Amino acid sequence: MKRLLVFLALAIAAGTATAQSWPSRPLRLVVPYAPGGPIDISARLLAAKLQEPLGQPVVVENRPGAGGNIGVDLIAKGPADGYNLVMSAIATLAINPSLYSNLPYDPLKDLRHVALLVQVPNVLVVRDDLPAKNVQELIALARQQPGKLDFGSGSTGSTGHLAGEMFKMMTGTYMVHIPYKGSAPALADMMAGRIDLMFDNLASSLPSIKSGKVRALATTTLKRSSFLPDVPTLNEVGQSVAGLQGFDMTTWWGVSVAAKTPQAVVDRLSAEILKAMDAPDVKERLHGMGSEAPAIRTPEQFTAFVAAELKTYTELVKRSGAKAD
Amino acid sequence: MESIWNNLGIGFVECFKLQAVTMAGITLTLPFNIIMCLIGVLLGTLIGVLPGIGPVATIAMLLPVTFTLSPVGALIMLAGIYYGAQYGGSTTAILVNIPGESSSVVTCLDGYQMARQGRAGPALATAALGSFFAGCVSTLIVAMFAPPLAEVALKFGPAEYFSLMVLGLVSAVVLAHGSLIKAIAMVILGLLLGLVGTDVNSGVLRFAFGISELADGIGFVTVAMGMFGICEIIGNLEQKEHREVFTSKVGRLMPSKEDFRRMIGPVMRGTALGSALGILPGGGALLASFGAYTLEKKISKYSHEFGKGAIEGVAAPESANNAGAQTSFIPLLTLGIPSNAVMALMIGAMMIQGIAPGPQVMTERPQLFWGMITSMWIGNLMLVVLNLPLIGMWIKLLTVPYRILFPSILIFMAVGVFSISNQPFDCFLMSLFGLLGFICVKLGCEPAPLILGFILGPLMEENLRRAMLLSRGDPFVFFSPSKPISLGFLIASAILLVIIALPSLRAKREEAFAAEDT
Amino acid sequence: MKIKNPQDFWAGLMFMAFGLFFVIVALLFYQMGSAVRMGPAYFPVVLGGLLVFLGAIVFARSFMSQLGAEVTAVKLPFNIIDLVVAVGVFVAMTYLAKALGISNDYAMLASALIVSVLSVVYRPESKALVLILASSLAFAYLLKPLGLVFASAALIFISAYGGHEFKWKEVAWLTLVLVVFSVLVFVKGLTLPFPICPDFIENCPIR
Repeated sequence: MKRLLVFLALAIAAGTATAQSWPSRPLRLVVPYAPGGPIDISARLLAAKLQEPLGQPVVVENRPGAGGNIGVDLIAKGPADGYNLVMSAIATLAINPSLYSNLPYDPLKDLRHVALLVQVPNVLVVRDDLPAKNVQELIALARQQPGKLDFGSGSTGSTGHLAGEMFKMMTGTYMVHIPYKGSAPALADMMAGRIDLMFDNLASSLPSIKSGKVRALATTTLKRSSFLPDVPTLNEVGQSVAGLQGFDMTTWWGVSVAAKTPQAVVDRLSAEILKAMDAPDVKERLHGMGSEAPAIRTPEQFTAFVAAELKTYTELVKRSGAKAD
Repeated sequence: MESIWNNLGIGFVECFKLQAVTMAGITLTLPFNIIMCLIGVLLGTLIGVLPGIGPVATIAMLLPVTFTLSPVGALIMLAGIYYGAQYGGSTTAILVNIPGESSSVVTCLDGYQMARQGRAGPALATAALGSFFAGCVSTLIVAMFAPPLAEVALKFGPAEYFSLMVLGLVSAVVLAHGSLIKAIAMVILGLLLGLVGTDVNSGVLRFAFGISELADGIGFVTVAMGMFGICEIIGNLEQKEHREVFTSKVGRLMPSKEDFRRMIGPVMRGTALGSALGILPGGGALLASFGAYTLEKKISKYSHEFGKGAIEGVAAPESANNAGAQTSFIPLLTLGIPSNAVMALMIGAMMIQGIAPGPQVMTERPQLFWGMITSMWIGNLMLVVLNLPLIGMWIKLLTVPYRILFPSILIFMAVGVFSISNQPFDCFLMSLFGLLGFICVKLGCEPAPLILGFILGPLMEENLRRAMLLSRGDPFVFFSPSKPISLGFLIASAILLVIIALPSLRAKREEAFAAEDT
Repeated sequence: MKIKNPQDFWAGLMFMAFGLFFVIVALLFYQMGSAVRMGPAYFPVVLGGLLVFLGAIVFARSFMSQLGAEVTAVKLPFNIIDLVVAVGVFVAMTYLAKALGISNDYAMLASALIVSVLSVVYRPESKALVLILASSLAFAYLLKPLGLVFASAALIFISAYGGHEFKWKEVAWLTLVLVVFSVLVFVKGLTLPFPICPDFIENCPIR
């Protein structure tokens, strides 16, 4: 009997101790994509940086599949103990719920959103010899010959695709969507003149813009990108062209955990991640990917942002008719 | 011409440049870049030998390490991993019939048979020497012709790719040495299996039946391990008589004079084909390796030996795939476009270092550009120096009794396949393909054409539909005179088809005549 | 009609079955589109149809005598009924797991175990085939719950049993060597995220 009491006491102590002494074992950061992409790279950057302040290693685990849904679902349905994190992105939180008919998780109810890491604008790039020097001329060209212009994207339902659809809706033009497997082949085809334009994310097309192989007509955020200070935003163009006002799209990703994770853990995680992101070397490398430091700093802001994005994209996907299954 | 030597000089200087490196508080002055090259090729060889774990995963895992290194050193190491993995992949293909990379599939066909006949040494040596020659030549090509070759690569649109793949598929049929119709059927079966997954053009998930693990399709590694690796092990264990798989009578380590004589032509032709096809983003290096095999099989006077251990069957594809590996850097270094997943990672590595990949790299950072090119040559030299002595070790390994060898092979395969997406499902698929491979072999159908159809199928469909989208539904876009490349490939496919069908047609006619006469 | 070439007979049937499968599934679930704007079903239907056609040729050919061609009997260590039973076991276990609410992984392990035992007892010639396949299933589904050490041991023991000779000490030593190698190379060297110890051991000595 005495032994049982001692055992019980130890168990209770262990239970409370674990809650207070988080983290007491290695963390697991799931990247729901194959290794090598920008999200995977930022995850590894972050994992390397978090090891010291947390005192425990952060192990990156790739769980690719289904546009990121498998990895996110794994964490959403997994233990909410603060040891399981996932790299969530615009695709998995805001777009996939309406793109896929049975998404196994609810982005707002099953997940707690901890920190937004990266926000990258998309940029409207056109092939070099397209007879349109700015957005207004492009719209005119598209209106003259509906269905003649081709716009490429990295995949059906990607931000590049949806940006194009939003543009078409807002300007009342019709362009044909050509999906590719990733932005690189689409960019290559554009350089060769086989497609006319793309709404590519800044990181992947910046080198080509700088080398003059393709031309940037506008960016998709409200503020101009510091990488392309001479390129107007679509919102700016919208001051003179009806319909484009308020055009604001970014590609973003961050860290999320299961919904029931204790608040103390979420707060500590958020603080440490922010500190890691502010470190000059990490900042520099994220900057190299085209990211400007996001204005969203707290989990509450992030969650509100996710909710807003979800609303926007649900609407957009429905109107564009894009479907993934 | 002068400027080439000038540039190569810059490159060599960069490679051997002494740099101060601080580790654990001790500062040493070392030729850092060369050491990085060595580490890269060593690592690459190791992961190439381990079935299932490829350069993509390794490079991705090493990316954080590269943050602290200088950009030139980091990229040299990563490049070394890539082509080192090609060398290592050939080793497993020859020794245990498991293709380390998709381009090593063809090496399995004759290389493994040579190993079983006690000729593993000459096979490995041929692979190493052929690869070295190809590496040297293609590095020179990259140095001299990178920009114009890149322009050629840009000319390949979806129509051209489709026609090239049709040619590739027709050549895949040549690979089989059994029934022609069954080979074609296996290719088509492979094509169909490759369609499982998300369709690029419509976004629809096909043939997945709600299994979310299949959303991105079946992986090449899974199919290769199953149909080549597991199938082979089961086949060996099934024999009623306990016969050692590899004859204990191990022959010489080096190729004989006769072997060398037979090697020269295939190596040259393979290098040419590999250098040409490697520049094409997406599948170029693979097409090169089995295009080279097909070419040799058709023109060699030993063509009856192909599939049973012909040395040309190792020399040609190995040279082709190494040449392709080197020239696949061209789109990356000149245009900033990745040819495959590894190159995409290299772009990531460059961007993290603050280097924007693209045409300006050559002019703005000549040390980086030329340093990388010369490091590729030095890396190839290191690889051949490393691999040739290792042949002795590999041969010793083959004398280990099979009952000890096969569980080891199995565990490496299982670990490799599991690590693809850290899910048990892929191992389950591998077992299914093992069963399928077993049944197919019993029914006289060969797995090699299936696996080639599997790789090419989705690419073919993607390009076909994209070409039709761009041409707004005009099917003649593939044949049009304004697309000479596409037209050329289709004509070549037709000719090849006739050449293939002719012998068997003639044989049937002779059969019919013989039957008439009796 | 006598079957002159059993290999072609079964190969033809296999091709026709696969071809029909792809054609039917594609037609049922996906859209054909037109030749001009192909839908997701177009390629599968065309290729599947071609496969059925080729399969039919091979099937028909099996009844005709072929001069000089090798005729080998098909010696599969199992017959169709065995295959059906094996598939049935897997399906049954999957449903059982779903009904009981436990993870599908255990269903796979149980099925592998049952099929292995059945084959060793009733069809000893299929021992190699079944045990090799079962060993990789065992490894994969035991890795998360039991860790690398036990999963590898399972794979090595089961697959070794499928070989020609099985000596306990030898296999045990082999297991030790391979486990140490795997831990060093895969977990330490390549940093693959495999658990080394089973789930129920809280603090693993090696991490």
